[in-house]
Amino acid sequence: MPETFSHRPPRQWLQIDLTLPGELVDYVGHELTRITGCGVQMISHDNQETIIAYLEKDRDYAEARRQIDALVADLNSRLPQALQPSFTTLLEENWAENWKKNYRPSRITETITVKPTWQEYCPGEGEIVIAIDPGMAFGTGLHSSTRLALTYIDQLYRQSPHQPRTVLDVGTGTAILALAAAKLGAQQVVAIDNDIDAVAAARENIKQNHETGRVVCSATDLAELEGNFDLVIANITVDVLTALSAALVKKIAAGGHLILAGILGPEQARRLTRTLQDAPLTLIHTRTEENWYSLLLQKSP
Amino acid sequence: MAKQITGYIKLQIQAGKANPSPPVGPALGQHGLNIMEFCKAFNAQTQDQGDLTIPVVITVYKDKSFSFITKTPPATTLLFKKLGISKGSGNPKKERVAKVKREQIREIAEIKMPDLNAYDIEAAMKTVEGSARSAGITVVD
Repeated sequence: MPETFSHRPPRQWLQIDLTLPGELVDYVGHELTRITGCGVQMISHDNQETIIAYLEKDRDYAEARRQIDALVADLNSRLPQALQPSFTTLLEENWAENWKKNYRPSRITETITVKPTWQEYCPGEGEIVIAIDPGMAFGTGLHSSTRLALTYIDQLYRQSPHQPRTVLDVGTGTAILALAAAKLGAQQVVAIDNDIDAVAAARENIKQNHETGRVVCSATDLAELEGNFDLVIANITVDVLTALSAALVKKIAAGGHLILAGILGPEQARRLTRTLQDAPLTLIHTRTEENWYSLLLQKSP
Repeated sequence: MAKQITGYIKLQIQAGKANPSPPVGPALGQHGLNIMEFCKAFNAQTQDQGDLTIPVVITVYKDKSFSFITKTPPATTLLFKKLGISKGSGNPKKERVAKVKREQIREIAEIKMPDLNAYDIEAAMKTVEGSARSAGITVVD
């Protein structure tokens, strides 16, 4: 079993490959998406298209499979030549493995370097190294939103007179931001994510970085967390940040900071700022990279 | 110098809901692309589009980087949403599931126009009418 799934059994899908005339692709793609609840892949060749759909083998499998067979039978009744779908079983694996071959150590800020757990790296003086195995979780350090958040964390610890002692990282993914805070000086870091795959990846990374004493990761709901934090970090997407905004603000200690990232484009940044306009927060700084935005805010003392 | 393109991946995914499960994981994984980076960017870009299905074309470069463009939702998806139905007919000769007015066809054609290889709105409407007929929807005046 791949290491990524040691915390749960791997999922299985029925993969359906269906080659059909181009004019039916729109309709059949829609129907397969509706039945399977997954998206589809399309491959064009000559005047035909192949649709690849995936049906998870879960408790609704039998009924969905019946609907797919009925769809194919219906299509065959209107076509001069019967379709020949192929059905194969696909076992979940770590599809990111292939990409990992290209994952290399990367200097993110003056202080922080992120490296893959499986590569050796010799840090320079004062350099902080975070070892990450992304598994199937967000946060490799290469994406602009992660880099922006890391830059603010670095700035808060190296330039602020009051270094955050307690940190909350919401939607932690690989725990890269939580680990950065711990390595820069936080004494207690709470990392949460509602995706159990991310929690598994995060816990492994925390272990690999020898930070189990200071960083704790779980799937605890934000609303159920107790206490306040000197620094709250959330690198997610704007719809989630908006939905969580009140709960996030509640978790910041008086005078504490909030770093928001995962914001794409100026309009999303404006919208999020408007959402927060009545909160007891001051926007300290906005940082951008490749059209991604990150905000640094401070709660009133 | 422009980056060398090694392939394209065409997917249809629900807006704001890309994740490493199929079809995204296997499709991008076999090209060695950063799956989570794609999911993050796609979700951020499409999160305002409700539960619509969004076609996306990913360009794969030789250095394992990628770019992508999202397109307008499939005509069938837009038709079903407008008519408030979820399921079409597999055999339109035997079974018709709904009726759509030509004016509604025009509205959908206007949305689809940027992605259709159509000279004018009339040509775009013909394409949408074709999608309606394929799904068992009757076009009426």
